[in-house]
Amino acid sequence: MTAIRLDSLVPRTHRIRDKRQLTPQVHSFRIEGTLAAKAGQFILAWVPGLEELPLSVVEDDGQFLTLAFFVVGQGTQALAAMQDGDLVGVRGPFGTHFDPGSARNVAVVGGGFGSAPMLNAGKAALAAGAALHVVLGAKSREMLLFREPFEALKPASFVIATDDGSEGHKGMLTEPLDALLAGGKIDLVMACGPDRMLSAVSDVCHARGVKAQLSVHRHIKCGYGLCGTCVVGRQGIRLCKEGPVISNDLYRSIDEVRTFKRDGLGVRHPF
Amino acid sequence: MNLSRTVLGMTCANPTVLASGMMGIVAGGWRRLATECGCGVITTKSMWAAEHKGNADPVVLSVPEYTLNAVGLPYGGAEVARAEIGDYMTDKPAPLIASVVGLNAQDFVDIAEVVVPLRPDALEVNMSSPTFLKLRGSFLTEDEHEFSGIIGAVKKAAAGIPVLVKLSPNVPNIGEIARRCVAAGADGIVAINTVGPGMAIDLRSRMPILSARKGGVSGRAVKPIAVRCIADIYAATEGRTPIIGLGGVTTGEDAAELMLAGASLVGIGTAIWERGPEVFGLVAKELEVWCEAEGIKDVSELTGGMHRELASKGTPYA
Repeated sequence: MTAIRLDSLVPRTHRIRDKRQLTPQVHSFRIEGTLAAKAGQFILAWVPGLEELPLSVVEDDGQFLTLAFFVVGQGTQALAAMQDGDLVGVRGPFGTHFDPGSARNVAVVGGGFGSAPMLNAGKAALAAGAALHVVLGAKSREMLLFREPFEALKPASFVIATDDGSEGHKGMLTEPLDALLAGGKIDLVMACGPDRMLSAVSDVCHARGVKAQLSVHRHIKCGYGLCGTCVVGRQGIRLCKEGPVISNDLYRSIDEVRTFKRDGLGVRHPF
Repeated sequence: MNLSRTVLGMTCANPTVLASGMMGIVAGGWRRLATECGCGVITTKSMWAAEHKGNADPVVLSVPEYTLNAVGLPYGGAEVARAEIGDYMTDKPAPLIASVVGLNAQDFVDIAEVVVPLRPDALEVNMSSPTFLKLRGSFLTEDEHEFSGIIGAVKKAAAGIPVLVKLSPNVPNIGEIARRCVAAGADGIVAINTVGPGMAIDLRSRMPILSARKGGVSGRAVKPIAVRCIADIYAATEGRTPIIGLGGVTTGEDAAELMLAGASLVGIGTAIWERGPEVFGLVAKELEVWCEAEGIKDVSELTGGMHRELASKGTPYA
């Protein structure tokens, strides 16, 4: 049976199903069909009559597309209130993806809601024949995302870190990550999470001489690389086209990704 | 052959111009286009003096045949203008046209007073965004008293910097409007802004997709409208007012066509989607190749070429 194709340049609404709440602020739902998305790519979800917002692709198994979001504003609140059978628009997939290449030992690092696209990244690493190492972090144990699905991948190693110490290592996940890299086996790190975490992960990977791919998030508007809202750095990198996944080398050459974020109007907000 | 031009005091390596509203908010984007993508002149995003929220997303829909947009002129105000133009001016890799917008003469003067001290090479007065239809029900060019007043006020604030006016094609008399803008003091005309407005509907939800419902149409499909509008403007202004022509330009031959209609410089925006930011250098190269094959020594020979051809046959354009 041919799968329903969900990939589209413009929003098309579909009926959602299997709507679930995963953590206090994270919800997910599924749509029947496939986007043929690669790990790390994003879609823009449209709540008709309200707003459009970027969502993470958690899974795209060829039969069902699973999307997740973190409730933070009006649009995500509206999505959180939706029920199975309601219509949500989807366009995408957009942007660059995590690429395991020929790496033999890949560390997949997810902080907080940043873990959302990393399950797919882990699967991509396994599909490329690499051994998978998972580093998962969150504020506390109930904020950990996809712990069981990551465990189900049977990773070669799995470390958890929580800020409050309610599970695993107490403190930032960069500490256990650094210990993992010190072992000398990891040849690629893939990471997604809050800006401060990403900056710290970048430093650790750079110091240990390990290549990394980081998913950088900024305000996205058009998704086509036209409007300029997501442009960062002196190099004029468009994060909806040349990102969100970028190499650590590129990340470290763009001063502003570590110092400020722009809002949708171009105003700088320092971290 | 020579692709370089000097128009209204702006000397550029080739006649391509970044259209306002495309990759135009931050200095990094302008710098990339000017230094790595072959863009001849940069036009900024239209700037307001005060913070202005645009429309809720979705604001842009792009398919191969056209792009539909109702971004809504979002802008962070004077602080963003100063930060970005200030940054760009540290090395200024290409001439910069500062596009300004407002709802009345005072608004325009407020933003002109912010940007003029930063010494852009020209100001573009945006009189034609379809967002005006939503904000005030009509384009600024519908009332001659009003637009003359705006042009006069901006000219005063511009203190000698050339003032260009960007016009909408969605009028029955663009040539006449251009002529009156020039009479009011405009040093140049930028044409065209987007066409329409247009709309798109999602089938299952039955809802308009753009949050603003209607938006301006751009892309390859609008080129014939741009060509005709530029020709109208060139004729109405007797070929004496520089025109930055844009609308659907994707290739070097498209650029040549708009120049024959009357453009001195050619803007590119939506084609960034199809051909990437490198489109400027690609179009410049294609234009150069075409001119060389035709024995054209200087790209300026193309400007108004159609009008001269028609006149030579005793059948002038207007």
